[in-house]
Amino acid sequence: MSLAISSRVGTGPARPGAVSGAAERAGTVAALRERIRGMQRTELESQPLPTLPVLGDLLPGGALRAGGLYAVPDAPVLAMALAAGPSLAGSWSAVVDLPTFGLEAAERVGINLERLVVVPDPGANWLEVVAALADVVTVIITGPAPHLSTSDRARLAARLHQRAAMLVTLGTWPGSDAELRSGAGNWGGIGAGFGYLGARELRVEATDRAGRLRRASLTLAESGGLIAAERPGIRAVPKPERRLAGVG
Amino acid sequence: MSERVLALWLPDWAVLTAAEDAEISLEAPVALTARGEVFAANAVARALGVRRGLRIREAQERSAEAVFLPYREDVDHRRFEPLIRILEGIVPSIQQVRPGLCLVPGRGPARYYGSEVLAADALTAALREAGVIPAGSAVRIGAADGVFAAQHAAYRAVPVPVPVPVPVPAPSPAPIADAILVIPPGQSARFLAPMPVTTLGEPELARVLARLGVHRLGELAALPVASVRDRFGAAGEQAHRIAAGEDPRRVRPRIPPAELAVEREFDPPLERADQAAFGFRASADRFLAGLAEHALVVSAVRIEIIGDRGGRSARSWLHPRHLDAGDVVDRVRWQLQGSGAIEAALSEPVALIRVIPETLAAMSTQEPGLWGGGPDTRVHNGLTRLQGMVGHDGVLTARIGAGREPRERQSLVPWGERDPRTDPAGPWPGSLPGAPPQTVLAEPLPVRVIDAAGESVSITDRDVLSAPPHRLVIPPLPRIAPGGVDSTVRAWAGPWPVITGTTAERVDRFQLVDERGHGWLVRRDHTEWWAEARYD
Repeated sequence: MSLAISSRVGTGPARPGAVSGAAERAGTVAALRERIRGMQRTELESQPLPTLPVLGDLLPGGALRAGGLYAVPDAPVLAMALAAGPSLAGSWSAVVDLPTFGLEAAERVGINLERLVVVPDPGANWLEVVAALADVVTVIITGPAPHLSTSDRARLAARLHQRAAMLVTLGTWPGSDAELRSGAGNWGGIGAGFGYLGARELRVEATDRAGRLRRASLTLAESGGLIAAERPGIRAVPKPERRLAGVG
Repeated sequence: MSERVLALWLPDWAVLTAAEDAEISLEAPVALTARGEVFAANAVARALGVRRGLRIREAQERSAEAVFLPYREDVDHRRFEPLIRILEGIVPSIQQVRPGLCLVPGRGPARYYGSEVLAADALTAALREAGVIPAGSAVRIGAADGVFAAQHAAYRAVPVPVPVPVPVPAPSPAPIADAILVIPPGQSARFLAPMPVTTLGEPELARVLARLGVHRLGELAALPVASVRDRFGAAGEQAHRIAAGEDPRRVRPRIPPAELAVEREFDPPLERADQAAFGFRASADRFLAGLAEHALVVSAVRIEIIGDRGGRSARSWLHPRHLDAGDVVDRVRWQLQGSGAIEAALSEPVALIRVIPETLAAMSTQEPGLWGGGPDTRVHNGLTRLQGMVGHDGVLTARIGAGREPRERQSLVPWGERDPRTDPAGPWPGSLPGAPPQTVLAEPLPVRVIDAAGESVSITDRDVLSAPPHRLVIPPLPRIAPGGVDSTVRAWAGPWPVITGTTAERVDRFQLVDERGHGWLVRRDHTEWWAEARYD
């Protein structure tokens, strides 16, 4: 899997090197915004967790947060991608209350099945099971959470924060760090009666706690891996110039 | 001169006990399989041409109605163990060659009982009395000089024909009678002489001997021993001595193992799982203490629970490392309550609980290294605790399974159990191209695929679609598509025929893309459409 990841980095945005004027300005603005946010931060500093590079543009702070809560209501592949970062770095992950979780797809995105625990049916003990798992694993992917009281949610969030774990729910979660949705995108390789489902374009929109919207266009490759889309113009920072500068 | 040996053989032991455990009648053809080949077959199956060494496919061709069971060596040994114990009660030393065949030194018992025949009768009577001989088998005893000759005497022992009243009831297989064949001292060479050299069980040697024109053991025995040794070395010399009735091997009696299993009777029988588990606590401590005395740890146990009304439940429990007393009690409780709640009443009161160690290891191999070892202790402890909450089968580890269907490739094994090693890589002809689906439905879901005219799409005899799919209608599916799907088909591909299962049923698979951009894997059997999986 590590090979696949390094190739993904290669096709992703090039390292900031010689940057053209417009891009530099955008970068400066982003850096200043980040500093302002850092000063305004009211909660304790959280450790960032390893994150797939393609998701950086979608997450507040550019990375997953230890103790973070992420909601992915409609696209299991994004939940898998969120979990893949820590899993690739050697952390344990767990899948709770999701009997339909596609294991092979998860492995292709980058989840290490050797370090994956599955609890398909926690029954009435959803909260207890998730809390117990938080002691053990770094990433918990769950189905839509059952109805929980506000204090239960707060307690769970505190537990996750204390254990430096994160939760990805395939539903909604009030006050989540980010809610990722995938819009309709085109499939490659399939037509009216020919071909097969190949690569797919995913237009992902992420809403953070403050309601800010981030967009990214990703490609779910035919191999099952997630890579940045090769389409200039959709991304906030124009990529071709960067690339040329990096190469030349 | 080799020693006198009694060989005790139970024909068809493995297959008969396996059939008895599976509650298959004696008249049904049954075969055991191991590594893709038939390992053993009962008399009915043999009459149909199913023989040891046949490939399963070929055996199935010869007898379609035969029942094929996997051969489990551990079960086989476990089933044979009581017989050995009974025999050990009569004669001091026993060597088990394999389940179903064991050896006893002949001199002692013969002197005690008066003759070899009387000694053999005593052994047979003891086994018959204990009722451990499976129906359809019998005790065959051979007495001869040396291990090899005794074994073959047992194989050839036939009951003295008893006059049978005419007419004989034809359909039921005649019960096999016990028999003994005694080869008098010094006669083993003559007894063995007509047997082919392949009987020695050394195919390499037998091939060369056959090329040299030596086909029978008698011919081998007639060769000068020095020449055989020069040509074939030590193995050849041993074969020569066996053929000459001077088998150098002696019976190597086993050392009876220490009694490690622990059982606890409850009188009066207990009604509740938690009571019974608690009642077993002290016995579990005793079990672990007994193991510790021998410097052993146990990583697999078999728990047998016998109910008041004779109900029996037995299963093996594995552990990723080794069990402590608490783990044993947990497993007793899990087995008692099944998937029920802790305080649920049992279907019948528990009269006896027995714990038998299945896999033992020396304690020294299990000590954690200086820097720890094995799976992450913290993870292990956490997940064990979780198993206490949701049950043993509730916490699973994942693997890619073997198969071409997405559902077959989802393989989940309880935490701590050994996973069946399969080969997911394939080749799996007919497996789906492209990325695997992110959502794999646990059960296929009936759906409707409609053409532009509103008719259900079907496949004609010529493998052509009646019309292109136009609409896809999926009923509400909690969590995945709560509102259901009713959308036009934006793109589709298929049909891809697959022949599956033993019935060779044909299904056709399709991929459809709905309006929201979700890809669906659907299949059509002869009448209906089913959704199998969804692609994000």
